[in-house]
Formats: sequence, structure tokens, C-alpha cells
Amino acid sequence: MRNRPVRSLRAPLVLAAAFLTLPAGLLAQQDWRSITQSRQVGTEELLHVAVQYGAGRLILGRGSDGLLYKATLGYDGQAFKPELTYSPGSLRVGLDDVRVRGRNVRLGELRLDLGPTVPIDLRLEFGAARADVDLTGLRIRRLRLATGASETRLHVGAPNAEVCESVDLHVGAAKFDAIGLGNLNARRLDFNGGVGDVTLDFTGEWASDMAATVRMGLGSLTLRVPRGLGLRVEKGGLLVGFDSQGLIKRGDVFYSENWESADRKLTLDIEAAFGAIRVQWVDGNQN
Amino acid sequence: MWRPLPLAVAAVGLLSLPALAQTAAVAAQTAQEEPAQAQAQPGVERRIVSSEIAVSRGEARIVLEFEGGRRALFAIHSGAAFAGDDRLGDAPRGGELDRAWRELLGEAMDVSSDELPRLLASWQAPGDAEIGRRLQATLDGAVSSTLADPALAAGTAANAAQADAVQSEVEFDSVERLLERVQRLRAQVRDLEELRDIPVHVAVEADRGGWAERGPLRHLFRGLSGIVSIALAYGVVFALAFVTIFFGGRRYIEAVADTARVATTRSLLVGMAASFLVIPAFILGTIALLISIVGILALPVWALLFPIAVGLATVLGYIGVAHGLGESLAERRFYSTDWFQRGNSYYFLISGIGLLLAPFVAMHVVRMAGPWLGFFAGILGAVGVIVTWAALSIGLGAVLLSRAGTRPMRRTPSDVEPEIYAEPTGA
Repeated sequence: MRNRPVRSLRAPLVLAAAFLTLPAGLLAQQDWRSITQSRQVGTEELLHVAVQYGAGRLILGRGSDGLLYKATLGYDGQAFKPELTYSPGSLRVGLDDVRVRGRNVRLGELRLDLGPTVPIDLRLEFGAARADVDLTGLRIRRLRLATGASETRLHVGAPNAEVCESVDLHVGAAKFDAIGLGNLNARRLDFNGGVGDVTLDFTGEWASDMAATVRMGLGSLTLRVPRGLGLRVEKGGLLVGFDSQGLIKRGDVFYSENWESADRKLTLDIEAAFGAIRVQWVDGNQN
Repeated sequence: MWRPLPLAVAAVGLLSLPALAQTAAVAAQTAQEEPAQAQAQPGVERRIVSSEIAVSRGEARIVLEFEGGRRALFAIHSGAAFAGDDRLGDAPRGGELDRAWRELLGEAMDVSSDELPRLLASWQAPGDAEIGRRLQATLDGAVSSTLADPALAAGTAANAAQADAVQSEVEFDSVERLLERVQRLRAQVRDLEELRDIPVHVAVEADRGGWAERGPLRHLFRGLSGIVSIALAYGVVFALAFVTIFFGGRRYIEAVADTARVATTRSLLVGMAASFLVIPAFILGTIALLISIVGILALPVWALLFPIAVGLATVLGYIGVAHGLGESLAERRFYSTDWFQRGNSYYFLISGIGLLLAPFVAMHVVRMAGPWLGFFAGILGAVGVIVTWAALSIGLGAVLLSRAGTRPMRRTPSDVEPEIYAEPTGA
């Protein structure tokens, strides 16, 4: 019998070694940097905060008394150029992507602490990032949040000392949980959702009535409403399942049983296409 | 930005002429931040209103902004320690001073602004190196007046004063150093003059669109718009198929689908040949009609109907292939009642067209993640193009082989292997 040639293992081994060492090589090229900028409260009467963040993790929360802001950015200096600028009353934070191919941008992190004393006009725009936005203890006067393919948690754990003039939430393809919206002290809320799994939790201490419009594309929308709150839901759209537990339908509009007698009321105008809407009554502060 | 020469520097400078000369040289440079020791004004109530700390492989720096707008910078970079624009001395990367400095800045990142002055003031430079002591002293000088603790403030002020005294004695303030600096500046001027003749092209960046085009979500919007366009294409193809079936064209579609499934390779080869020959055939037909008297009359009809016929055949072929693909998928997935519920042409078309367009959808989904997955998006796009081209070619071939669905090629019973439902008994 003729011997079959023995295949050399050298080439596959070299290829395997190269493959295994490639990520380490890429990481070694990264120029990891961190920058922290903080500022104490001066004469600011309102702080405009604009955050544009395209990668990694975003953590926003309350800072110490007397602090205006503290921003800490961890980023790959080879891939991104940081933007951390302050002009009186206005803070811009973000990263511009320059060269991201072959880099692990998910390692980046932006931590932003905002002070509790100055009212804030907050504008957050972030892309492929995980975000944990905790507005507890902050004085939010306006809130605009736009998020893309990400996992976002918005939390308001205590009543907002300011009247929030507008809340504008734009959510792309994402998992989005907004907890404690009742604490925002907002008269109006606009939600625009693309594709995803969205939870809007309206628990909290309600200081006034709220009117909300919800525009949802494809996906599931869960509305968590505190018992005792008056709820009115007007629903439109195409191929949408609506689980209307605890609601009574009058004409084309759904009402909670206590609608007439409730101290605080939430009016929801929902337009959705292809998906499911679920109303959950939960225990939680209402007023 | 020019600033007045601080009094403290002037006082130190009076102690020795070289020191004054050195300070004057520093001031003559385009110093943005003042030397930190110059800002120490004991007894004046100040606070740090802003701090910026940056740490990277090549640099570790802190910039302090005091009430009233004055700023102080301390840094170690390029193998040296700096206070403002003053080079205090060598501090090699990875050395004892560099490590201690980075450790301090690391801690400073985590403390609140209130605690920052105390942290900076309590820092002790490692070892006995002169550079470390000078950095520590200048830092102390900058923050001493912001400290609430009088004892600590007095200590740091004393450190700063000691540093000033030391500074007046060391080579840092020597005339040689001043001359060396002048030489360096002259060299820089020469370098800049050489650069003067290099042509510089300035391009004005055009408006790149709105927020959706420039923001961090632009990839998402592009991906979503791509998916929407694919969804539109899906809708158009399905609408054409729906209309065809609704108006009695189901058997033609099924015939083309059967032909494509039974004679896939033949259909592909015939379709490829037809796509290559369609233009020559059109030209030859036109010439043939031109050279005959009757043909000239038929020429407009030919010129109009031939492209329409080719277009219809292509569309019918694509729909037929999608139908066949959906049917094939359904045969693998469904059993008994499922099959009865979903074994219809509409379902086959929904799934079949979806399968044919799936690579494009996947490409746009991957694109949403950003440019770093562009390679995979490109591969998926190429797969989509190849699948589409194959479907069009096979479909066109199947339409021709089945004479537009009137003579389908179907499996004969002898082509199908018998299925055995009973276990052999062994009898």
C-alpha cells in the first residue's frame, strides 16, 4: 500500500497562533486614556447638558452637593477623540468616532455626575451603548433622550424639584426601561419607539396630571401604572394587541374605573404598528 | 493669552538675576497657564472651581481653575515634569516620580472637588529627587490658599516658600539654561520658516446633513433606512405575486416553481445563456424585421413587447423561485395540520421572498452596529447579490423551460423513492 503523505501541522499551527494572538495584538495597539473634569457650582442658573456618546457604557447620576458636574471618560485614544467642553451654563460631553475598525469600543465608559442644585436641561444621545441614567435627586427642567441599538435604563427614584417642561424619548432598536416617570413632575411626555422591548413605568409621586403620546413601531410595550391613578388610553394603529386589564372601553377610548374620581390623571395617546401593548397596574406612589 | 507678571515670581526673581531672566524667558513664551508657584498668594481666600485630570500612556496632567478664572497646570509628559510651561526637570516614564504622580491623579479622579485640595496638598513626592520636591512644592503653593485646615495650609505654604528658595539656588535658574532655551526657540523659528513654502490646501467641509447623518445614531438610521427599502422591495414583489395568484396565475407560478426545483441546474444554465443572449436576440430580431417590408410595420410592436416580455419573464421566474423556495422550506418544517394551515402559495411566497432578501436585511442590521463590522456587512451584501442573481437566472431559465409555466417539468412517480412506513417484521 502506498503511504499517504503526512500533512505538515506547521502551517495550521502558525495560523492558529496568529489567530489567537490577533486580539491581544489589537488590544496592545489601543491607547487607553481616561480624563476627568469636574466643576463646582458658580453663578449658573441653568445647566444645559448635551451628551453624545457612541460606544461603551454610559452612567449618569447625581453628584455631591456643590458640584456642578463631574465627567469621567475612559476611551481608546487611538479610536476616539473626546469632547469635554464647558462654557458658562453649557456642558458638552462625548466621543467622536474616528477609527473604530478592529477595536473593542465596548470597553469605553462615560460616567457623568450632575449636581443637585442647578436646574438641568438634559439632552442625551447615545448609540451602541449600555446606559444607566439615574435622575434621582436631580433638578430636571427638560429631558431629551435619543438612543439607538442599546440597552437603556432610565430611573427617577425621587420627585423632581423642578417642573419638567418636556420629556422627549426617542428609542430605536432597543431594550428600554423607564422607571418612576411619575416622579419627573412633567406635564407632557412624548415617546417614539422603533423596534424593541419597552417598559414605561409611571410610578412615583405625582405632582400634576400628565399627557403622554406614545409612538411605537414593532415590539412590545409595557405600561406600568400605579393603582389609584386615573388612566385614559386612546389607541390607534395596525395589528396591535392591547391587553387592557382594569380598563373600561367607552367608544374608542379606554378608561380606568376611577377616571372621574382620581386626583391625578394620565392621558395616553398610543399609535403602534405590529406589536403588543400591555397595561400593568402596580403598587407604587401616586401622589 | 498674556498675563501680568505675578508679584511672587518677581520677588523670587529679585533674589538672583538668573532667576529673573529665566522667568522673563518663560513669560515671553506663549504661556497659557501661569507657573503654579506664581499663583500662591497666602492669605487670599480661593477655591478650586474646576479641575481636569487626564491620564494616558504618554501624559498625566491636572489643570486646576481657581475662583477668579486663573488656571494652574501640573503635568508629567515627554519624560519631564512641568508646572505650567515651566519644565521642572526630568521625570522618566515609569520612574518613581511618574508612578507616584499617576497614583495621585488616579486618586484625584475619584475624590470630590471639596476633597481635592487636601489630597493634592498631602501628596509627598517619593525619594529625595529635586524634581519631585519642586513639583510637590509648586503644587502645594497652588492649593495652599484653598485649604480649610489652617495647619495644613501653613505647612503647604512653607513648602512652597522653601521651594522658591531652593529654586533660586539650583541650575534651573541659570543663565546657561536661559541661553539654551533661546537656542531652542531659534531652532523652532528656523523650522517654522522652512515650513513657510509648503503649500497648504484648505478644504471647506460641506454640510454633511442633519443630526441623523452626523450623530452617533447615524449608523442606526442608515441601517433602518436600508431595511425599510428592502421591506418596500419585499412588498412590491409580494404584491406582484399576490395579483398574479389572485387573477388566476397560480398554476403558472407553481409550474415555474416545480421546474426550478426539479431542474435547477438546467434552469440556471438556460437562464444564464438567455441573459447573455437577450440583447443580441433583440438586435438580430430588429435587423430581421428591418430588412423585410412587413417586418418594418411590426418593428414598433417588437421594440415594445420584447423588453416587456423579458421583464415579465424575469419577474415570473423570480416569483416562481421564491415560491419553490418557500415550498421547500415548508416541506421541511411543517407536518400534518401545520401543513394544511400554512401550505398555501401566499405562505410559500412570504417565506420564499423573505429568504431571498434575508442577506440584505442581515447586511443592514449588521451595518447598524457601526463601521467596525463593515467587513461582515460587505460579505452579507455579496451573498445577497449572488443569491438574487442566481434566483433571477434560475427563474428565467425555468420560465423558458416550462414555456412560461404552460409545460411544467415535474417529478414522475418513478423519480420519487418509496417511503417505508412499516418496520420490517423479519418474517
